[in-house]
Amino acid sequence: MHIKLNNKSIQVDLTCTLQALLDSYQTSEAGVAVAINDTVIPHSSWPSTTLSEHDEITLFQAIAGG
Amino acid sequence: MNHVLSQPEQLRYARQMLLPELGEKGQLRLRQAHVLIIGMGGLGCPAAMYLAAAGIGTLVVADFDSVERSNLHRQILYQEHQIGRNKAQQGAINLHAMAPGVNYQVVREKVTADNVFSLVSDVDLVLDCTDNIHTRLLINQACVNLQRPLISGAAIGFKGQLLTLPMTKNSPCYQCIYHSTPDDQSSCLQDGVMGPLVGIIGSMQALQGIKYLSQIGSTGQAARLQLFNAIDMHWQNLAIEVDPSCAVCSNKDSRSKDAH
Repeated sequence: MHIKLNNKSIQVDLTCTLQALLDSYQTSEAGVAVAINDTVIPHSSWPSTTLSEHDEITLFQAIAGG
Repeated sequence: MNHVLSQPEQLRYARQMLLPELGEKGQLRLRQAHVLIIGMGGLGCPAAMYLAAAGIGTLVVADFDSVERSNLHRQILYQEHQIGRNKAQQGAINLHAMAPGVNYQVVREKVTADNVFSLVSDVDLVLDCTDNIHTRLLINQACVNLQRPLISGAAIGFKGQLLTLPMTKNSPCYQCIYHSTPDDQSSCLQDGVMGPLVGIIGSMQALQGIKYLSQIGSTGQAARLQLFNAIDMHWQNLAIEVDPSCAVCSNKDSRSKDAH
């Protein structure tokens, strides 16, 4: 199925979890947060969250500057 | 406490009191408010200027650092000849010249685990305008424990983040979003930052603060994270949920007992 990751269209398995998606793209989880369709998904829910067709995933990092 | 505005106050705040959402009632709420701004850098300068100009009763400004020449492109409260002065103290002097009706309190010490709880417990609202993750985590912890609303701003390069956390019983906290800290702590020192970007985020912190204190809109109830990309001028508005296994706020019952 097709989803969008930071506005880029990608193809993933039907059974893909959020955790599996992040594992394939991210070397480190440190300071990383993720939203599906504009709702931030808590870290503890990443393994149990399955993706759906046309989901829009936003992957972003904590920033500290000011 | 005097519950009427003086004639000079009526004049000074006339254009915002014209707003039916604020009015005289909202102005009096602002005058009664105590706000803590931690970090008087690129975010803290515009946030403090707008809060002072809006007539906040007491502004506590905290910064241990001094003004450097390389700060001046974005830390717009300070003047060239004030290089070397402590930011909290000089900031309060400059704010007082602009808005003398506000009561300013200066904290020149670094905010640490030893003083963060007493600083946060004395105020109605906290603005996190700091430049490092470690202090951000301390401030979050204190705001969770003491149930003080937190408006957190951050900016680097061309990216900004604005986080509004009501810290009520069912509200998420900073660590519900960021369960771990970044490996490389990028900073304005290493990576650079666009001046107006911190101005935008700091001004948004002041705007959210004014709305929270004067009870306009849903600022007091809704936790939101806004991401701003200053290259393509795109804002993304995200809802945040409580992380039931959050290391900081997951034990809500003990949290509310601690606060009362």
